[in-house]
Amino acid sequence: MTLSVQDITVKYGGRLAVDHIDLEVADGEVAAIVGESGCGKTSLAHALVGLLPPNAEVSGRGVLRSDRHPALDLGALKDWRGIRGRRIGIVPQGAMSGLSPIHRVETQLREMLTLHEGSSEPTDLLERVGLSAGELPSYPYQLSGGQRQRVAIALSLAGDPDLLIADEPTTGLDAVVQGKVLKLISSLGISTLIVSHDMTGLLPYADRIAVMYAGRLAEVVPVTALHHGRHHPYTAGLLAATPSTDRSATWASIPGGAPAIGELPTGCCFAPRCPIAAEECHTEQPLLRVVGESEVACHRMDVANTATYPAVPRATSACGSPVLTMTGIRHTYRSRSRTTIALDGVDLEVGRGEIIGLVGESGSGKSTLARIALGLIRPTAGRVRLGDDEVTGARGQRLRALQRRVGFVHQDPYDSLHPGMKVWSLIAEPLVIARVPRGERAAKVRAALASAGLPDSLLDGFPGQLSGGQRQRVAIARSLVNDPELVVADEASSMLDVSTRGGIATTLRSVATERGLAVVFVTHDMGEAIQSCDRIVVLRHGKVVDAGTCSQISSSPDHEYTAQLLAASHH
Amino acid sequence: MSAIQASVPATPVARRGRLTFLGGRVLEYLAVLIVALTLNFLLPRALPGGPLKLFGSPEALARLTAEERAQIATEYGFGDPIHLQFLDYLHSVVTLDLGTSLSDGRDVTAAIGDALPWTLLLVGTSIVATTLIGITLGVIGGIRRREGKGAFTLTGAIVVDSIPQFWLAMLLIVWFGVKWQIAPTFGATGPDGTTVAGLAQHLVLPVATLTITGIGYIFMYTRSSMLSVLTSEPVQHAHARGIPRGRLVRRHVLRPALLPVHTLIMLDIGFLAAGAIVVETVFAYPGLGRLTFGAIAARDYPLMQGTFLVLTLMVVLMNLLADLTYPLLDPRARTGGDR
Repeated sequence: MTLSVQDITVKYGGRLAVDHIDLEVADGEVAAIVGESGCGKTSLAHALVGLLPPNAEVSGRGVLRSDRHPALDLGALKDWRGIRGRRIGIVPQGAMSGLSPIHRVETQLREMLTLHEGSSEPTDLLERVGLSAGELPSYPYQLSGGQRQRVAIALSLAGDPDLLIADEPTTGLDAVVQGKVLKLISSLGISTLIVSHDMTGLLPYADRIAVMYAGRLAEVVPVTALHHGRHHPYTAGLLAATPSTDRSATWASIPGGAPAIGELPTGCCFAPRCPIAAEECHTEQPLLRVVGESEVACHRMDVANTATYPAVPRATSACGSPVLTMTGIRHTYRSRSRTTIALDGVDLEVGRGEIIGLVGESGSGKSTLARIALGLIRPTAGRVRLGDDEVTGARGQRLRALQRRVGFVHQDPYDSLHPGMKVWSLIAEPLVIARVPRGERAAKVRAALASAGLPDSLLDGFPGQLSGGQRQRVAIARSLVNDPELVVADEASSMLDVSTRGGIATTLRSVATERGLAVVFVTHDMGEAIQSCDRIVVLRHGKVVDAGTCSQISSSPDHEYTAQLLAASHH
Repeated sequence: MSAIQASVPATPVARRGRLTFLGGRVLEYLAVLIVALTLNFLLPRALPGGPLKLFGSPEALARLTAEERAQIATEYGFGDPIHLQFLDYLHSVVTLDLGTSLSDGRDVTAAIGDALPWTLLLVGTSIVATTLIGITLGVIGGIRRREGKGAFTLTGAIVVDSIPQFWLAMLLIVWFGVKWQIAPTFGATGPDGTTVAGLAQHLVLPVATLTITGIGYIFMYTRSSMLSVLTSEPVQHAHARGIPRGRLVRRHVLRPALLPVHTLIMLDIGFLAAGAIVVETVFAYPGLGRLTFGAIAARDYPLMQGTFLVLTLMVVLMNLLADLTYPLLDPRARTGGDR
């Protein structure tokens, strides 16, 4: 089976989302379309299977050839009966929440088998995806995320398809599970097109990677060639922007943000962010041409190796006196039917100017610990001290006074900024709440904005006009405006594109150094913690399993679990 | 994802048996019932005016001496301190001896017993009609909306839902009863006693009123529930997996979409079973609603307490029933989310 995508273009109401893409998927090959949010990768995949919304206009051809069926042009297809599920298996995005909640696994598998005239049995399908027949009577809510993803893959295999299209098959899964799911997909022996934002996670499992940027292909490269030879500056940037678990490597970020759909600059669309852009890059659009083993769309391939991106700085001075001291923290959640021990005797100390990484997978208790540090929830047992003051027993006025000394950056910069408030009011709000006199506010807001690395010109805008990275900087500025001693950043970069994550880490480092702040950085990404923090605390099931400086954790982890996490995010 | 949800799957959790679940629910509802009974007792007494004021003509009342007033009050039990009255009330609820009506001297339990079957007949018929029509239209409306159509039906539903019951009832009486004289407008039985045809004829207009005014609500609820399920991930994914439209709607949309509607209808039955006050009053239908109306107008405490008791019991009972039947429809609710 081969799939050849020829000149596919997708427009939403005239705005170009996918711009004349050509791509081949060879027989048995695992190809991947990689890019950041809004680059058009999902639109392209959906265009190939007729799942675009009605306002989308598609042109171009996607020819599916196989020995078993006549050739098919997916671009011109109107009637999709007998195609989806039978010739093309689809693992949709967010498959974890996409199984029918009210039917048993067996019922769902049988439905697909009957519908697509599959020849296998439900048990065989489960076996193929590495699940036992014991899961047949389960409902999806009884399965873990990884198991649900496997069931979704089994469902897509029921019709014995020629081609598998998997859209972000690892989103929402823990790092260790992500690798297992990708390994499964690559071992199925079916021609596969994976759509993903995580290039480095795919490397061990894909054969070829197509890097998309702003609706166009920047580069198509065999995975084996990715780590040597010359590459598109964007590909190189993506690689450099993925934090390595090796402390001696550097972590970079690509400045700026991707252009919005329909607002493509003339010339190369990466030129505004490119460190080696020349004049022609701004005027003339580069076309894909063969460079070594890859195809690259870049005018500057002769100097491509000189492209460097700003690196995330490390601590320059030792940390000062302790700001946050947590000892023996236990926390239990009780609900109607169950008791969950979220934290079981955790100690944590953060000093002035220090960034501490709180690493753990979902369910490790890291968010609970962050909330306790913020004074939002009261621990079941243990002591929390902020500087020389006891937080543990504080209530009412005294607690609020203590909370004002702690800043908070939420995970989601899209939800945490009120869309109807101007940037100025968003940042000034903590001052209003703390009853800071009106006259003193302006200076503090401007100082916080500058610390967060944003220009004054944004103050009059609304969050809707900002990119994800800029929004998160506004959130950082808001957390800084009241001159806190401690900032808690809960997964502050996890919703952002890879290329801008390092920028947030850089900002946090500079505020920690300049303002002598203690920072608690909560993350599930080991690499990110190793690259941007001073010390790391690894949490699992509410217990600290490992703690130490980044180099210690990175080179000689004490605990087997830490080693597992390192291996899972080892790129 | 909140910390609580995030922490749940990692740690072992205590499992509770089905019986404990049932028992727990029943206990909860008993607590609700006791609170509601207390309110039932207190609310009539919080109304301005009292039974004495309506006991006779204003002139006759004015002539009563203080002792005579006290005597009447003692006779009917509302001269006692309020906590004693409350204990009396609880006792009467438990023994189902609800006392005698102040306005016509009838036994309250018997009065309610006479009215209840009429209400059940009237309300039962209209609920079946409302549910069938409302859900059917709602399902179609939801599917059509997904295709960009159906704005007209929605407007229609909002208009129908906004019609006041008494106004529609009067229109129906004027047209069908007076102008065309094709349906009776008064009472539940004809002059020839209880015949099936007579019963059915007398049901037509009240049931029509209740159904027409009730459809909009169920329609809109079903429609929006359909819409949210149609755009939900499981349905979108089923579509992507190649499940054809008809099957998609039948197997993957209907059941989840009707889950909230089921709860809504159960609660509706609870409220309506205590009598459709407006419709029964306008059509002089001898059900609980009219009884309640009369009791309130006369400040007839025992009768009010009695009819409110029925209302309370019905609502609590239907709530409980909704709670207990929900797990049959939704597997996720069967084990409270545990494995």
